[in-house]
Amino acid sequence: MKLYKDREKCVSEIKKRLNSDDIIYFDFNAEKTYFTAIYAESLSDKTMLGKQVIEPLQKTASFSSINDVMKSVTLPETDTLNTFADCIDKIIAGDAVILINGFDKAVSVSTKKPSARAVTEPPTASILKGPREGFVENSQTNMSLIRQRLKTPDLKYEKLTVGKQSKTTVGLVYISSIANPKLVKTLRDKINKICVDGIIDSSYIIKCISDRKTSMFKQVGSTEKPDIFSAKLLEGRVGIIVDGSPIALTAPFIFLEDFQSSEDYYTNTYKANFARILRISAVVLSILLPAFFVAAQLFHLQFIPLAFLLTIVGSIKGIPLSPSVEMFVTLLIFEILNEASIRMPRYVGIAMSVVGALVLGETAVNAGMVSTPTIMIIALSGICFYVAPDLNETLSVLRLMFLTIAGFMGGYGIVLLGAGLITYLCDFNSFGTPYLSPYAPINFGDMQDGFIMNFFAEQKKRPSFLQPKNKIRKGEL
Amino acid sequence: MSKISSRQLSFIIAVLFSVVKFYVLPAHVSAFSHEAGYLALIVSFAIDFLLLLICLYIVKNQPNSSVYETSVKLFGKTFTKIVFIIYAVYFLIKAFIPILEQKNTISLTFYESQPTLLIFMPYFVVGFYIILKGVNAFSRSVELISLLWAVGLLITLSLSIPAGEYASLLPIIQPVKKVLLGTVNSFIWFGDPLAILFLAEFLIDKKGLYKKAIIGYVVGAVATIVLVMVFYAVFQGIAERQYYAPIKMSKYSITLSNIGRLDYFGSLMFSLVSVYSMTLPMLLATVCINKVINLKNNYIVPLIVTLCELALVFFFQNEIFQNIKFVQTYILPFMLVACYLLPLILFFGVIVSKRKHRIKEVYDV
Repeated sequence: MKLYKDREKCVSEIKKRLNSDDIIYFDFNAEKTYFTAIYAESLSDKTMLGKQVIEPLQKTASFSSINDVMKSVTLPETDTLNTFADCIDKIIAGDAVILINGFDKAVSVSTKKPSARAVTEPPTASILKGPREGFVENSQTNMSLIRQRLKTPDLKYEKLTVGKQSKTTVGLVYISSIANPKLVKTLRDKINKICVDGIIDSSYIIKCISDRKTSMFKQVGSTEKPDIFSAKLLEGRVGIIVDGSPIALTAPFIFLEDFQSSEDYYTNTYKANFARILRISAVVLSILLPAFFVAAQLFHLQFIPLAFLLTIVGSIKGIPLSPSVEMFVTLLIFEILNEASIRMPRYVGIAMSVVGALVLGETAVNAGMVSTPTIMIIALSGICFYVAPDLNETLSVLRLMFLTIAGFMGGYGIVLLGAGLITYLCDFNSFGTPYLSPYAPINFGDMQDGFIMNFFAEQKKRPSFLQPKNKIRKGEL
Repeated sequence: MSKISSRQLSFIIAVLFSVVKFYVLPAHVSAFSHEAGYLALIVSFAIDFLLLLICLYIVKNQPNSSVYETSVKLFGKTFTKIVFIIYAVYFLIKAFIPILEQKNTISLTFYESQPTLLIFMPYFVVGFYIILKGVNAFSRSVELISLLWAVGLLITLSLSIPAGEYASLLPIIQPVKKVLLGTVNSFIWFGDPLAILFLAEFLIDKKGLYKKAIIGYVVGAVATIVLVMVFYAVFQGIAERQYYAPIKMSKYSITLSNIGRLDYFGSLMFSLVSVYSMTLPMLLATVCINKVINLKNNYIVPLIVTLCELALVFFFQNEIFQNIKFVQTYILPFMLVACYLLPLILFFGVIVSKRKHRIKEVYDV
């Protein structure tokens, strides 16, 4: 519906449509021209509106066109609006809308009040060496953090709006001279196709754009750190920033990324490689250790060295539960403790750990409910989880699956589940990129930043599985 | 879309063609050729190498993208369809012995006191799933599990090499009859390069095909021959009764008494690789049937193939050695014909069509 020339009729129409107490209607005039400024009290900066919009307008003698109004305002982000729907969209987005008597158009000025918290170190990605800045909830601040690192005109930011009710700003970020245009188009199309009520966090976007919506494996990368985000853009990935979320997304995502840490690139290559091998071993151990222990106890006692076997026999004597049930119950208790300690306030969480680890564990062993090796194995498996924190959710499900199958079928069950899992992952693509790249399919060139990392000076090409426009990363060093 | 690269084909040749020969074959060939077992295998590998070269020549030079189309062009549609159904049966039989071997290995080494049929049956669910996922996922998986194959081999050989008496492999020159006896009786474990013909239609590029396939073949052959040599050196006179070699040959290592049966992990790794080696013939049988009946539903053919194989294993599971004997006595001629006749006919067909094409080109000019 188009705006009327009569300002008061427009105001009453907007009031009818936007009936809320936090919407302010402020009338003012400049000699013979009458205005109404409409804005959301909670979202707009009133000082900015007064000093940079109302004051200059009041000082102007006459307005022959809508352009004169826009020129008088001393804010850069202005727009001409023709319909009531546009006006309402702008008001609820935090802009101020100026209605002018005698014009069937309105002017919007960006007076958004930033309500961002300070840039701090993200709690999910602490490091010893390297940048400590983390993304915040404000997408403009996040974009500025990226621009500080990538001062290239090729860095593009495409603003998209998603969510029927929330109308969330979603930014598609990429380096046009590097990123594959097909990938950019695919992501743009996928985001534009999203039809939901609201996008409250970037995780909503992940769920909407993932190819396999029921999979437990991550298909889109996520990070809270601008340095990681920038490095991924430089590799040829495309980023997504969601207003209101401190977690930025990157696509395509490969399985290997969960084993890479930003610190690997800031420390000695030898140390980084050692850390990566440790992470992989720990992840394998965390999934398979409880399963193999149960399989060995139930089906293959010959797996266990004699001395260790005697220790186990001594400790499981009198335990009323079967090894698989014992392990399953202990694991369940561990998961409950884990869940509770994350949700609890920090000071209660410490007490919770003490109760869980010392009191519960110790008492359960003393009471003869569970054996010491079981507690030890669950604890080791639990610790191993946190070397790849982003894999945490997937690993706990996988651990339970392997444990269950080991309890029923023993070692061969683990083998069969392993084969099924390998096939599943090999069949998996993230936006056209094989999930297990560069190992399946093998690409020796891309292994420069694989489980074993090559020296920085030797990493001359961008990963080919991302099909970047520009394949060369650096010249001779 | 299902795709496979020359490198992935090379991994399939190296890993899957060799792992099926690790279990019963070492003992079986020792029964016929004794210390000349490895020589018998060298002869078998040499014969298979010729088959490999023929298959590679056909794949590289055939005018069409698939053997099916080439065969239709040379011999007509009806004949080709019959041939492909015969090959589906051939591949089902080809999968039968490795599956039985694996089942027996599992039961004798890991589940001495449990009924293994129920424990082994879920393999068919996984096998069905692998077939369903297609050649693309299959070939990528093989690349990944090749690492397990290498680690498994390393564990098995490093634990068993110190226990071997290598003088028992001498003399190198052995009577021809003794060597050939082993070769003839080990035929059911050979003839694998035929798979290349049926995988050819999925090849995305034929660049470096000869080189990569031959490297893969040599790696697999060397691994098998070394394993058989070490196996005989460990067991010597009693080698013919030591079936399921990987689990038997390394058990005498002193290391195991300190760290537990590490060799079982090697065996488990081979078992994981074997899941794919057992599935390959079933996958090829599916490819053959799909060519003939071309159903829209992806599930039906893999399900039929898996159920047929399951039925075969279910009804003939108990006596693996009688089954091997039966296959060798009654089915071997069929397998020989299937294995060599079609590749040879296609080979000559491709040569003739190539020559005709060249003559036509000369006259056109």
